[in-house]
Amino acid sequence: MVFSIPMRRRLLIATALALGISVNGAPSPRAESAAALGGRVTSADEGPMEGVLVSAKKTGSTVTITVASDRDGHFAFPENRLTPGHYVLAIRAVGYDLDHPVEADVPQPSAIDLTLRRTEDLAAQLTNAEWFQSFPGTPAQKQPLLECMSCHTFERIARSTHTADEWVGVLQRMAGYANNTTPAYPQRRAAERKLAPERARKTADYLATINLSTASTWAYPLKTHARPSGRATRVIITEYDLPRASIAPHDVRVDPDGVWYSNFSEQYLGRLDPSTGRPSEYPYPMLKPGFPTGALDMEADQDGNLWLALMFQAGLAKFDRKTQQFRLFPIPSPQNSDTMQQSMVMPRHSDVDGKVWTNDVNRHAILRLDLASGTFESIDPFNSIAGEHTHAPYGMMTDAENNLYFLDFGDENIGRVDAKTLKVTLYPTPTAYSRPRRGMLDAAGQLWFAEFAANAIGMFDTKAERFQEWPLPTPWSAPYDVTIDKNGELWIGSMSSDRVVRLDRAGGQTTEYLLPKQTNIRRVFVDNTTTPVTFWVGNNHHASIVRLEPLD
Amino acid sequence: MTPKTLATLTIAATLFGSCPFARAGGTPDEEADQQMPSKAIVGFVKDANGSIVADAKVVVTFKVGNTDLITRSDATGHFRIPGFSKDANADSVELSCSKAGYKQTASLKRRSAAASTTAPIEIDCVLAQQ
Repeated sequence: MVFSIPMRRRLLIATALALGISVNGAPSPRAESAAALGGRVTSADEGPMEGVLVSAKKTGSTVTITVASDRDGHFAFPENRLTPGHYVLAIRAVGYDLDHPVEADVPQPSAIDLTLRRTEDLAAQLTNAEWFQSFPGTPAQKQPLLECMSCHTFERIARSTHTADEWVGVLQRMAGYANNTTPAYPQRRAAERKLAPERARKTADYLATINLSTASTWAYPLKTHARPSGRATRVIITEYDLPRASIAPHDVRVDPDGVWYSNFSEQYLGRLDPSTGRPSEYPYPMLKPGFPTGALDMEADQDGNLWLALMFQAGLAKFDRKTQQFRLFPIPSPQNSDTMQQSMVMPRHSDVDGKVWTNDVNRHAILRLDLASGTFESIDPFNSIAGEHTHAPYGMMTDAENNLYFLDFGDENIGRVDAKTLKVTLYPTPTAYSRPRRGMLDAAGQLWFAEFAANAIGMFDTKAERFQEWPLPTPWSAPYDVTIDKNGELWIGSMSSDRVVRLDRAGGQTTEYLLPKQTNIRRVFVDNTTTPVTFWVGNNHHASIVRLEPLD
Repeated sequence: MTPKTLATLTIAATLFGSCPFARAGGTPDEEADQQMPSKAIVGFVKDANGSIVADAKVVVTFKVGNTDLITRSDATGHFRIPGFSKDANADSVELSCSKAGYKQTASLKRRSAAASTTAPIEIDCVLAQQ
């Protein structure tokens, strides 16, 4: 042994360093006194490495714990996070692999030092945001790829050998998949969807310039983003595997009963018990056999009952928390076409007037369910003004009078529908074609929303009718959603970079936490009952629920 | 060409020049067609002397249907309200503006020489200081 400091003491110091606290100072609420497992990450190229995600998974467990190495390369798993047993370690650090497989027993008295070597397959490690920056071409050429990443990574595009002519057919085939498709659970649309030929040709011509149709390797350099550093390394991430690869958790919501999640691919509402890692599944019946299955938006009403937007099953479902029974609200037959699709639901203030808001995705309209009669009335906010120009109501919020606020994901408006008069008011965002996607309305009447196409976060003050915008640091982040925590900090998920962005407006500081596995972040949730707050999200591409605990 | 017209044209060019490509990426969830930028209503809020008025509330009411569009004039007095059909024209809408300490005296519609499906609809709004 080189060091004279006793091993136990070394691990304690390593833990303290990794947690960003003073060895002698007062511990933060999440600081633990000793490490169950720790060591140092180095490589021949860099020496000690900061921001390497180190994951530990116990044999036979469905739970993976991840920490990040600090600026001196130290990493440490707090003692209370790893129960005794045999663990396999894994890392995420773009450009690197573990030099050799590493396993360890816990408790582990010795430091486990990890040696990394340059990967031989960098393309397998790139995030979609990194592919966006690596691909040659104009933003306009790359922009159609935004639609691809909902279902899969760009690696399969880059590795393909399709010619431009072949791409036209591939794109047409892709257009036939439902939105709620993953590689593990492909679903065909019932209604045919044709791509405009000139658009397919344009995209096909471009894709044939970035794949391997004419060469055995890429003519452009593969660009990577910096690893996490500083505050972004002071985090503990827990991943809970769900029982089938086909499960795509879309929305998550934490309450005393556990972590609820909508399943984007199958007819189940899910609930994870984080103390055991065990999920429960609550099945609900199929409304339209032969149509794609799964739900998107999951929202609670005033009594805590959970509502689901049933996508191509066409309608809404209400899960009664007391009886644990579902009540389904199908779209009645005259309205219910083969393209009928509900992605959103907003029941939060339905006790005010007995009405629940949802959307009619195909017709770019809003629907309002009357609970007493089960009928849906249609409100078209754009029909009179827009003509051929496409808008699309997506994210929805309500105020105390059950007036609706909605986000025009097809274009660039925040909309309001008066619950009593159905009068529509549109507020264009300051950035043109921002495609506001999802968000939340806080108690002060501030509406926070992700600007998917503007790589920014917006806030619309519903009382003052004024906007503010904050750009995100990483290009092509494609934010889906944002939520504000009890401290006024914003939490944002990127659909492309596998990063959770924490934006401290007061301090002007942005922190980007990297998740351990590839994903396509959708709805984000912050649990404000803990200090610091706890961030939750589903991994829709790898069938897991993710808990991110910042240590400050 | 007056400086004022030039300013308007410059801003219009900037607006559409900044987004020259079609709305790639398609519309959400459903269609995958590319959209061209929508037709917009653009203009300036001014006072009786022709000076610009910043941070005035601008409301566009479409004569058909039940939809208002609301924005504010920027630091140069300019405003832009997008999202309209190519068939929309200055007669399709009423435009009003307001600001504390002012009252509206007129909204002035300007027509382009030739009917255009893409050029913005230009309407200025005039406020008098009270």
